[in-house]
Amino acid sequence: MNDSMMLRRIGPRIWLSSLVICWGCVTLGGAWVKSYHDFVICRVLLGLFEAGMYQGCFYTISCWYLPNELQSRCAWWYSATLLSGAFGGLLAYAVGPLQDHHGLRQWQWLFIMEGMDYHCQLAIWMGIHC
Amino acid sequence: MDDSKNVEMQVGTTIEVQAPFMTDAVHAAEYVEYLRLKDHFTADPKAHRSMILRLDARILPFLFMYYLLNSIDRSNAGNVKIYTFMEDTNMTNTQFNLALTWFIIMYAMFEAPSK
Repeated sequence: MNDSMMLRRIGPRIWLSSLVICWGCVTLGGAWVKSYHDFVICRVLLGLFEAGMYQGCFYTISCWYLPNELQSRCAWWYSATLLSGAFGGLLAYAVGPLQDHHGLRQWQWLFIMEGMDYHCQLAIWMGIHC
Repeated sequence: MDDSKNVEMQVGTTIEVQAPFMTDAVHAAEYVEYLRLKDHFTADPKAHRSMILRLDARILPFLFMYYLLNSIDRSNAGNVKIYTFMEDTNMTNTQFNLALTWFIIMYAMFEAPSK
């Protein structure tokens, strides 16, 4: 299924939001990984859902701006990668005290927090607002 | 990137337009329409600027957050390894790296057809 095709048909509001929800659910499910095989399935599905987002976002931005404005907008959008390096570690450190909280280990809490809080909230917000 | 002459006749019309790059006959009508719309929107600088700012406020924060989450998710696997992930799932380092390789394979496979 071509991602650009879906983007043109459904529109970025619904397509990108649903992509985010899907990979949020997969991340959430990653908390209950029991073995190597489960983890591989988790990462495969994650790659599947995350792949369409980059091109979709870039295409969406390029639809709305003139070429001379597009460059700086694209740079601002792409700088999210830099910020992720800063906040990823912080997030992982923040779940440190949660060892065996409600019977779940720290890494499980990390996956749960990633999957549920940020992704689904953001995607719903985007779906309503934009 | 510039033409040898700055002005060219668009095929199918009698308009002479300032062309920054070479266009072929197939896209001539689209290009003329694009130029017309561009002139229409950039005519008033203040209105144009306010429109651009409104677009920025609506589009960019969301796409920024999406890409941020994407990157955090990808680096999350490395973060998870710090905690007791390997003992709890009885994985070796090789298996862990293989799982991440699968992620990259799927990512590349599905990103290429997305233009």
